[in-house]
Amino acid sequence: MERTATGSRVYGIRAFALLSSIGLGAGAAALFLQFGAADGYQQVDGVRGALVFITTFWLAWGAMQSVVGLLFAAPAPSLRTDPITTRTAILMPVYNEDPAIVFARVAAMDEAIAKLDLTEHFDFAILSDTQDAHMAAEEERWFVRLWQDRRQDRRKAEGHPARLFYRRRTRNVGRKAGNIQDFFERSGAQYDFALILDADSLMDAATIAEMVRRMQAAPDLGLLQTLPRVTGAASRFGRAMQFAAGFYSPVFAQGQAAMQGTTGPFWGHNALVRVRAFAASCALPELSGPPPFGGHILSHDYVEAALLARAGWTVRVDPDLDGSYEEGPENMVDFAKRDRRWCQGNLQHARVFPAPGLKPWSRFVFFQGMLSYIVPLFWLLFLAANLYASATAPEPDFFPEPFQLFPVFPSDQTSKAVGVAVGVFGLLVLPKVLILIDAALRGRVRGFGGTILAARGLVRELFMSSVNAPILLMWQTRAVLQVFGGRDGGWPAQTRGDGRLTLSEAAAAGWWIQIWGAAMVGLTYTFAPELMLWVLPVGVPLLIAPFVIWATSHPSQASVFLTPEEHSLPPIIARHRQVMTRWGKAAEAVDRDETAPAAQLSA
Amino acid sequence: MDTPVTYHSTAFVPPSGQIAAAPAPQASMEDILQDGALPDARLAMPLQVLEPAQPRVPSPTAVMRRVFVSVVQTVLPLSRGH
Repeated sequence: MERTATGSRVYGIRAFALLSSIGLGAGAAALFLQFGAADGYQQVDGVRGALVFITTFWLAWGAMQSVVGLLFAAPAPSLRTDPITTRTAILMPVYNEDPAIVFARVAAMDEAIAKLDLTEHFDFAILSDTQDAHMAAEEERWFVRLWQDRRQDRRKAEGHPARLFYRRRTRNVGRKAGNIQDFFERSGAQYDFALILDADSLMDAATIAEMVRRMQAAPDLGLLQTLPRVTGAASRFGRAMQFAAGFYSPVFAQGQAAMQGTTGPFWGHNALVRVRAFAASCALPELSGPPPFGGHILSHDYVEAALLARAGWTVRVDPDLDGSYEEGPENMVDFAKRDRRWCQGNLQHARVFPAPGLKPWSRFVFFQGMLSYIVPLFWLLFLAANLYASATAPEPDFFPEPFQLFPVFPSDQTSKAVGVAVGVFGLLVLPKVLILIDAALRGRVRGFGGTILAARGLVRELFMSSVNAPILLMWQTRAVLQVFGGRDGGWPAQTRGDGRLTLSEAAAAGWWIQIWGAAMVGLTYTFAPELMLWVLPVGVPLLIAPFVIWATSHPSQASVFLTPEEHSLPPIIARHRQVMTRWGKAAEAVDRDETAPAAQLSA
Repeated sequence: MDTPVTYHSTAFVPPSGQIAAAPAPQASMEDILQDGALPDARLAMPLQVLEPAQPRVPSPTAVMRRVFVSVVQTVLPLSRGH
């Protein structure tokens, strides 16, 4: 089976997306320059034009991914039925996580695999990097519970080898990448494939089996990535992200899939790898020098994907594979913490970018990742440059020529600035509207409560992201400056749970953003009051940042942001909850279920 | 680690159709952790080459970084948390 678009089609699609984005960026810059230089060209106008080009190009590039996804999506293949003849290790790396919840995920997936009568083909390995002694002891206790639950004693008594493994490293060398590498080096030879998960991953057995069949059928396939759906969100922020991930991401992923060719992505989890390919290509060295640019590679997944492609293996994302789930951050603070890690990891890729032998698309992906974190700085610079240009604009000269009889009035070019602003806004909104139309036509909106509810979710998500964006932009800017300043963000454990923040916690996280908002609005009012209307959409969210952080961390209304998984609970998630109930650790989850949006909606 | 765990296997029907009693139903946590240790099936993972072996020439980034540090640390609260 060959699903990977190759050759001229891929290059054609890439060229279409790239040239369109460059064209849109250049058009916006040209239009803006007519406005900016209407009172005479100054150097700052050149800077402003360049910044408009970069920022618009970046937005256009994002928009083009969705357009490509809508226009050039590969048709979903029919599911394979050939027998599974290989052995797969399902790897669950954990790092200071609640073991009951995580190990219950293993039990749920194993139950689902047993239902398909495929247990002989799949083993589970829980790979702990937990450093906290108390949590480590809890992990051991819950492994015993898992062992009993899955009747491993009986299996051993029948003379079969165990299928569930638990190993804890006392020194977490290389973090998650080192954890996986340690498994391959110890036990990899026993398996053909490995399914790499995260502690919050859940995957349906049928999906896992389909992935294995696809990899069996494509001997050059080194890595197969699924598009995980975000589930389990309860807060306004979390559910808006969950909706966005469920509604928009499949189309963006189709766009990526159409452009990537054989050089697809690895997002670190919910992906199947060919063990021998991975072992031969993906052992990551430490980079010279100290963190954040040296040391262990933080965002290892992108690098591993690039190395597999360098070695000639196909790396592919198959967005049609559903039944793949993860959880997301529930509030803006947790999102910013995760983003801090990703920011450092992506900027560190500057060191890997020139690595020998990489495919051009892999290098482009690194560049893209770096740019995604640097662009917010350009937006801020653009704001500052506009303030500066406005404050230092020369007085209009009505009589530029000596002995001129009639005055020359400068032409009003405001409409061009408005045109650029509308265009930029269009680049943000249009892809989402197109996705809505496409979803309505194809019937995909059913899972989101129908066209009206999906449209309502889209509008609310747009509003929320407009308010959140300036605040997140400040965090991102700080993260970039911290990394450039040589500060290592470390490896904090993921925060799970409902994520509800108190107002004082929100204020502690957002006070400095408020100060910057006040400074921005104050400077604009003092030096360029005519720009006030342009600055307020950014300035107001900054001024009320603690309130936004607090309010978005609280539970969302039931009927807003409905997703297919809330509409109809996926069997694997239901199974996970059953296991937790069985294990007597479901009190929290049951409480949460009772207030969960789907429960409220159906009540 | 030192808490013994008692569990009870129920009787089961083996493929032959004969009913057999489960084997000794007790195992300690140590036994289970030992049984659940990773299988020994080693596989070599050669380290990949990502950068030249020669020591890096000090780059302008280092200089830029120093400038950033001094400017930024006076303007932004650079604590690790939020």
